[in-house]
Amino acid sequence: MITLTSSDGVQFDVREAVAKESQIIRDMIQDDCVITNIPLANVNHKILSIVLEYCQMHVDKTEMEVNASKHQTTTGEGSSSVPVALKVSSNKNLNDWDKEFINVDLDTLYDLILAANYLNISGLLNLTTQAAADIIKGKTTEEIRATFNIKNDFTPEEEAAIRKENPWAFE
Amino acid sequence: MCDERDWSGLPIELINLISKKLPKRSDFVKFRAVCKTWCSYTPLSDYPPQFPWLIEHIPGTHLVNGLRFYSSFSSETGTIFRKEFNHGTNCMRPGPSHGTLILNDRSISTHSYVLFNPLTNEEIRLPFLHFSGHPYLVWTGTNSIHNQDVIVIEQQYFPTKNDSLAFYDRDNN
Repeated sequence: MITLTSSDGVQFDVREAVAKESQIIRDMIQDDCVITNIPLANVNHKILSIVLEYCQMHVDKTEMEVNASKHQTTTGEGSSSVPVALKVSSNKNLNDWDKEFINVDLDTLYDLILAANYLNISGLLNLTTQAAADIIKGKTTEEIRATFNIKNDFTPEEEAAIRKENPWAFE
Repeated sequence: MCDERDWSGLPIELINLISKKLPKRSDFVKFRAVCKTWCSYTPLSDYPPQFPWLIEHIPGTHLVNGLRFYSSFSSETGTIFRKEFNHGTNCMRPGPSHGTLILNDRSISTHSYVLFNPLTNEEIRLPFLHFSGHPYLVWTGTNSIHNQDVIVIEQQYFPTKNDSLAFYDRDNN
C-alpha cells in the first residue's frame, strides 16, 4: 500500500497499482522502491478522491481482463475469440463508465484537467480535455466566453482582424 | 469556496490539447477568438487537418464572382466573393498544399497571380509570371536547406512539351 497525502492534508491509502496509474508516481516508486508516503502539493482531497476513483476503476478493469485471459490459457480452451469479445464488451462498459464519471461541473472539470496533467495520467487527461472540447463544440465565441466565464480582452480592432482571418466561421 | 476557475489561465499545453480535439474548422476558429491567451496559444499553423473541400463556382455580377466551398467531412459550407473569380474555373488551380488556390488576377495583368488560402484568407501576390500555359501549384512549404518558405509552381503546356517550374522565395521575392 502507498499513502498519498492531498494538499489539504488528507491521507489516502491505495494499492501500488492504483497509484502507478500516475506516471510521476510510477517514476518516483521506480527510483526509490521503499517510498510509501507521497505528498501531492497541487491536488486537494476532493479532486484526489475523484482521481483515485478513476484510477481504481481502470486498474480493476485491466486486472479483470488479465485474469480472464489467464483463465482462458490455463484451461486451454478453444480459440482466442472469447477474450477478444470479452475485451470489447469490457471496453464498452469502461467507456460508458468514463462518460458517466466525467459528467461533472465546470470547476471540477477544470481541477481534474490540472490534476491529470500534474500527475500525468494520460487516460484521465485525454478524457477531461475531450470533455472540455465537447462542451466547446458547436458554440459561438460569445457562448464559449459565457460558459467558461472568460472576459473578452480583445480590442474591437483585434477582434475584427481575427474575424477577417476566418470569414466563414462567423457567418 | 465558490470561486470560478480562470479557464483563460490554463497552461499552454492544456489549451493546445483541447484545441487539438476540435477537428471541425469552425469550432477551432471560434475557440481561437475567445481571448488573447487562447488565440496566442493556438496559432493558425495548428489548424486541424482538413479533408478536401468541394468547390463550386457561383456566377455573380460582372465585378465579383463567388466560390462556394463544401466540406464533406463536417458538412460546413462557406462562400467567398473575389474579383479574381471572374474568369471562370480555368483560372483557378487548387494546389495540393494547404488548400491554396492559385488565382489569375486579370484585372491587373494576365501575368498577375495571387496565391489564396480560402480557409485562412491569407493571400500572397506573386511577381509577374510569364506563363503561356496553365500554372499549377505544386508545393508550398519550408525549404529544408535554407529553412525558408518556398512556393513551387509548375506550368503545364498542351500538348506535353517541356513543362517548366517556377520557384518563389517568400522572404526574398
